[in-house]
Amino acid sequence: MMDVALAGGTAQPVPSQRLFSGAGLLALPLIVLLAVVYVCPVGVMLADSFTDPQPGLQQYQRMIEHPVYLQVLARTFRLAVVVTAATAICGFPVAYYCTIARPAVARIALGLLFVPFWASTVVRTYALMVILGRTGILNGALLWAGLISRPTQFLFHTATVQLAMVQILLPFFVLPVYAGLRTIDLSLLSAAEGLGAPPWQVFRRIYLPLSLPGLFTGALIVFVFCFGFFITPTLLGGRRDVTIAMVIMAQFEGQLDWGFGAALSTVLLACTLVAVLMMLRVAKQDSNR
Amino acid sequence: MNMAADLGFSGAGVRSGTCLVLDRLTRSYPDGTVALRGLSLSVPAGRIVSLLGPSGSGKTTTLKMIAGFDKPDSGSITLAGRDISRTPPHMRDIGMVFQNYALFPHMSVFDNVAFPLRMRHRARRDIETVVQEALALVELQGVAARLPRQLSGGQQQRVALARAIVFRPQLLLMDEPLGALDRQLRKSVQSELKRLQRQLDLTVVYVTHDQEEAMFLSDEIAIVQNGQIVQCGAPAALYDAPESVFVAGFLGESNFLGGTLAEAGAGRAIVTLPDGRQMRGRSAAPMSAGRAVSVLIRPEKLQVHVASRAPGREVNVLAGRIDLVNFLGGAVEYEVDLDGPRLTARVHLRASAATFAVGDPVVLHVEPQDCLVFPTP
Repeated sequence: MMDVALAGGTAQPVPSQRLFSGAGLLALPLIVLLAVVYVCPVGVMLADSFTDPQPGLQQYQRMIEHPVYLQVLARTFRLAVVVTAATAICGFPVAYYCTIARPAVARIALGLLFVPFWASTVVRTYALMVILGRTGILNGALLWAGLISRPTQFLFHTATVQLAMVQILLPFFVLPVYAGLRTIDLSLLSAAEGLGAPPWQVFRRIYLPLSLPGLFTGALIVFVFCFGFFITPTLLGGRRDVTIAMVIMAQFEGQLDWGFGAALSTVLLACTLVAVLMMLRVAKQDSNR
Repeated sequence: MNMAADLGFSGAGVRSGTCLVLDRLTRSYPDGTVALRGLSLSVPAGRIVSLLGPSGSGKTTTLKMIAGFDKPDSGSITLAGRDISRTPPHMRDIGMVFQNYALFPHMSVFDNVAFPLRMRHRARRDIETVVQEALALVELQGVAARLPRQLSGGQQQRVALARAIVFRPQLLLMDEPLGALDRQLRKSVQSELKRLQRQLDLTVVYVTHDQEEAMFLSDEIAIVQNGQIVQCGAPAALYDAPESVFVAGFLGESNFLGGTLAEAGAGRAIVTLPDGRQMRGRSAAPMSAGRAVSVLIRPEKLQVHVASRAPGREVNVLAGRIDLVNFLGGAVEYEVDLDGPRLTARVHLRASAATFAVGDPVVLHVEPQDCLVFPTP
């Protein structure tokens, strides 16, 4: 409530000003909660990966000996890259449109973007199955229109998984990008145009570089989500769309091999961290240039 | 500076002829506001012409039209003999300094200044030389590698100027470029700008709402009101012979006395003030007797005398009492109560000048040629 009031008001924020002394303490419950439900389990997971069933590196050794695990990891990485890129290409124009549209129109557009959030990812994924399935709406429509003579299987393809993930992750991308684009001073675009830049150059040399911080934030969120995506690939994907999260799940639930599951989780965590650090580095270099 | 001349950076003497012609520009917006109502203006080459007017008068819209960021509903824009009314901004060859400078925050000072040259596909070596030259002109050689946010406001202003002139555009547009600078700095930048304009023989259209700045900088001032130019001319001409109460009131400080026209003819006018006193002056426009008029008197044209030693004239002598004394440094301003109307007189302080205190009875005198009579709008 307070946040809303502060954000909506015209009061100038003063950096040193505080709501009241000790306001920072209010963050304490969340910090404690994070420590208990996040830091502790990660610690346990790390420890398990080196100690279960006996101390040593044998779980990691097993991962290297069976290339299938690294293949799954590489496939997950590829999926994350493709989905992130596709989300960026689809989402950037939407975010841009929201910055140039009249405020009322922009509000509606952003609102529509969030309508899917009213339903959970599981429901939305099942909805796609209803649409894309052999007896689904899409097949029905195509048959009725006479474009196909018998039902086609749209499910269980990599492209289907990617499409669904883009659809689910789009709002997570559009919001930070929109926030970033709104800070760009539009007079810079006029200035560039007046100095002799045709529209394409204005975009490439001024608008795009200035929108990179927002783009990176959006892409990072989407990428990290992708890396751990589970429900959508499980329901919509074929046998070749197994992600690392699905393998990990299988270790804990199916094989009951907690040590190996922990080791795979550790590698996933490490890969995510490396990817994030690399992206942050690129973003920083770019903003310094 | 000589180097600049060698490379063809500075102009080859004062050009003659007309650089820019705006012909009956009109513009209205879907919400019903009318920004321009047939605005016409001619800008001679090698001159600074200021558009001066209150906010909302249409001066910024005019500048946008010239730059190409907005299109007129009707009318034409001609730059160096070429109709550019439908030319997109990036093909117009016009430099512009924005109010907020609009420096590209992600580019160094060098890259900002090089931008227009790169857009024109100039050779890399040329760019290096010409950019350094432009930075030298605005005395910023040392900061080429810095980002705009690492510069002071005055330095940013100079980068914006360098960027706008580096490609030697036909015309330079400036939209209140000194608005964000403090008073001291503004004065020195104005002088610098005037020097650069002469040196490079630039043609400048300058938008401002600051009349002092306009008078200081301009070869010509165009007063904009309600989307039209109401008067255009050299600053001194506008100051001495404004054609309307609006222009008189907008340019310089003014006293207005309301009255009725008693007699008029051949540029002369006699005005009866409400208290029966009569004033002689010049008429600014043909008017018939009996009309309500305003008499304009500039503060520095009023002479202040001790009441007991009135000048030996009967014309334009007004008795009153000092009501306020404002010390201005080199001059002093007396606000004189004339038993109803009030006049402000500005007197330059010389050793011989008499000084007055609040409450002193005084007599004001003004020469008839310094009283300009307007029809009251």
